[in-house]
Amino acid sequence: MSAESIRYADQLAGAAPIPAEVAQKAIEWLIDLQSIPVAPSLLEAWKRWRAAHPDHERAWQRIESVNGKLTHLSAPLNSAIAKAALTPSKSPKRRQAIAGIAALLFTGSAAWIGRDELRWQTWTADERTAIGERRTLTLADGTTLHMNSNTAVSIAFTQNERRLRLIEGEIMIATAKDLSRRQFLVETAQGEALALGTRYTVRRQEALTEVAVYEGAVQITPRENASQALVLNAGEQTGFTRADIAKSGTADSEKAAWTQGFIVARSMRLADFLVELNRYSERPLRCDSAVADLRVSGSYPLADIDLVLETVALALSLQVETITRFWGMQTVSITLAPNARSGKKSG
Amino acid sequence: MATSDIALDQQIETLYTDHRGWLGRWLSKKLGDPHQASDLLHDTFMRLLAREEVLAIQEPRAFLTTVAQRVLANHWRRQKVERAYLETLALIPEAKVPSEEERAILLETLIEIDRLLDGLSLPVKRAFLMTQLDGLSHAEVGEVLRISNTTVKRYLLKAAQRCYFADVFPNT
Repeated sequence: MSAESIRYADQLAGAAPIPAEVAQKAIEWLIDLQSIPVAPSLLEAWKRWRAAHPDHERAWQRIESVNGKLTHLSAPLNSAIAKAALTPSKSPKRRQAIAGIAALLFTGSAAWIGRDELRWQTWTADERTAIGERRTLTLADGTTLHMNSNTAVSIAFTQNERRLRLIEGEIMIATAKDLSRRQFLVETAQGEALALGTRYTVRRQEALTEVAVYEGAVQITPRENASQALVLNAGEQTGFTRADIAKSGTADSEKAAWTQGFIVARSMRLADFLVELNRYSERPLRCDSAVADLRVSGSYPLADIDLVLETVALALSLQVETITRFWGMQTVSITLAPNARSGKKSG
Repeated sequence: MATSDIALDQQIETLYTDHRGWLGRWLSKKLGDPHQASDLLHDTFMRLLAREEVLAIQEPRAFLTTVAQRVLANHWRRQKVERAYLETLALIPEAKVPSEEERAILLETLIEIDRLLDGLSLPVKRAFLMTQLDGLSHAEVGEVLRISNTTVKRYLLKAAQRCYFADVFPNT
């Protein structure tokens, strides 16, 4: 609903105009909430203000209705287009900057922020997926590469070896027989995993690489401790750092469900489930600490995160709260919280 | 349909019959295009139909001219945004250009936001868009625009008054 149609609806309902001081206060809240990080006490105070008088809520709804429109424009490319179209400039420098943004976006959706180093590494990757995107590729040798959400790999096939560098995220490899018998390696910051004719997943975490083998075997070598190399057989999984390999455990085939477009939970803590699901969501997902230990079971389609949240919330009698702190991309978060006892509070 | 609605419809029908000739010509002269003129003529009367009450009109010509001028201003604004939009799209590598449907939605949104931000200076608009679309902090906006934090806040306040509460703060 546009601001104009809301105003119009206000008039139809015979509602009094929003008092100037209330409107002014609402704007001040908006501006305060844009400072990062937002103190929890500020959020609380803001919620109290909204609840204190219907006019307050009405004024805030007005802001939200416009900001709802603005979120359409907040994806990086749209934002670049919007700024260029709404604040046109004849300055060639600025036009160049716009072309630059477009070029940057072209090479990788994650690259635009450029704030942390990882982003810049991502930008040199050959193949990448955005958050929520999953892709399956067939490499030159016939190997199948499944890429999970938010994943970046660079591919280097030479005469002697087939090497993938997993820069970020998670992949599943089903290697093909190579005519020239080159070895197949996946390299991460922590070390490498050599495929011995196989189907396996490699997941890059902060300081840990996880490998799970579903067919064949994989030899793992930590980057700084080659003598510790370990052969992992089908049905086994483990994690390794730059120096150490953890004791191997049973490979959980449900962990590879993403290759089929699902996330599978078996009596998983809600908090852990959301951490997993978060990998596929542009908006941070959280849950109230009071409900963190509730258990989630079932398989859920990754294609529709909102639906997953609704389903889980329904099953556990929780409610989905969308907290829109402000309307940049990173700050809309979704929280699963206990159902409010006192009636209507919606997301 | 309430009686007042019927009365309103009749009133507008009369206005249409009596005045569409000269109004169409007037619009045609302004636009230099009879097809567009007939579209905007249609828009002008549609706008009247959206009203709630019978109009108390003393000077139908002056009244219709005012409404048509507004329609015309909207039309030109739309064109301006559309042109800037197409120019921007032309800068983007082909593979990254949004689908036709996305483009249409984007354009409509842009036109609406442009209307909401009408009258604000360029730096004020930029500060507002950077904050709302990119999630930049006040300090970051200040850095880009080379203005102080206080000025950033002043700009954002002004933009917000106009964008969200134009009816409450008509003289911002």
